[in-house]
Amino acid sequence: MAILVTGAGGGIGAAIVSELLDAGRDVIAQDLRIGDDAPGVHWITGDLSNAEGVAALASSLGNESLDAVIIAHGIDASGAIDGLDVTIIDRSLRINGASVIWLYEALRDRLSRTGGAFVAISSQAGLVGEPKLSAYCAAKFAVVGWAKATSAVSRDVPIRILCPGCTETELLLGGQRIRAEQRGVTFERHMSDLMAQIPVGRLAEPRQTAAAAVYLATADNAPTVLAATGGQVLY
Amino acid sequence: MLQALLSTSDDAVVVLTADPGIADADQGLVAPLHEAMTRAQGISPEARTATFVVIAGASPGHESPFTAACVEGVRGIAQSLALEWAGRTRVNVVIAPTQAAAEPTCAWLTDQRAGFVTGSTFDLRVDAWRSL
Repeated sequence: MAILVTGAGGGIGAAIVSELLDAGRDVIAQDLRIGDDAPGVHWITGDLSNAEGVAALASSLGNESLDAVIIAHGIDASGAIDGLDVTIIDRSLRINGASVIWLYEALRDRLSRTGGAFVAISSQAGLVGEPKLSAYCAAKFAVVGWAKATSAVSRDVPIRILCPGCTETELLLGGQRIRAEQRGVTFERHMSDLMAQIPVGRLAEPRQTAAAAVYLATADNAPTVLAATGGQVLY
Repeated sequence: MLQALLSTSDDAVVVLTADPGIADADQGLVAPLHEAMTRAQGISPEARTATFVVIAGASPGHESPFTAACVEGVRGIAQSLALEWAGRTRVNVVIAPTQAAAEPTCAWLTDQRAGFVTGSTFDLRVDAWRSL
């Protein structure tokens, strides 16, 4: 059996795959494109922005049971609401929000056979709002709400949500470049200001965020929601 | 009724219904939150307050997963906008089982005495059900 990781080509996803391989786990890695090949990794590709794509992913797994599922895909959706394109709103709600539920519904039987956990990566912006991030916050808050309500009534599959803080990935840095432009300051100045808001004074390394996801996926007992934010958001 | 009472150029109200009978993510999450976002885009920069009202039947902790997703998603939008529009428009969320139960709180939020309240959630469901 293996652990499925979606968004495995991204900064956090790739770190999760690496962390799992180090722990001796087999990994089914999903993304839009095939990533780095490694012993113990089987790549599958597909678009998770709609229910049909999620069904295709489930179908591609055959009848295989899963030790756990870690949902690590996502997109940036930053921008002031007044000029935000409806396409970005829709894509954020589907990819950052609804796809988590589609995946849970498509894979829960495979997990219930093994007692495996369903882990999804939300964000600290799923716990506390951030300005010029409403389309992202809508989806990430929704995932936290859904998970808490579903966990309260469904006990066959543990659902666990990781809400990481600022993790040093291309996704985060790209979003921060946009924000620096919006603020009219240099990227370096913007990052310095950002760092000042994080009590530990630095960004999370991808492997640290990955380790938190792997803990949620493999621990016998773990919280439904874990905030790993360097103290920026307390939960 | 709520819209007519409170949706003025100064005070915008966005009413959404979290339907507990819905059991798919398209209708239970994407559709209501997309509507909330597009309605928020229509709020005038001159508005003093913007209140998102979510009509959700069950008490907190007893709601359907899609109701919870909708309620939390709207909270996410409102918190983000409260920061984005700070100093311009106060943004809050009212969750209630009926529009009638939400109206007094919505009216209070438009008052200057509530001038320091933004980014807050008023979940009225427990008290509203208790008083039925």
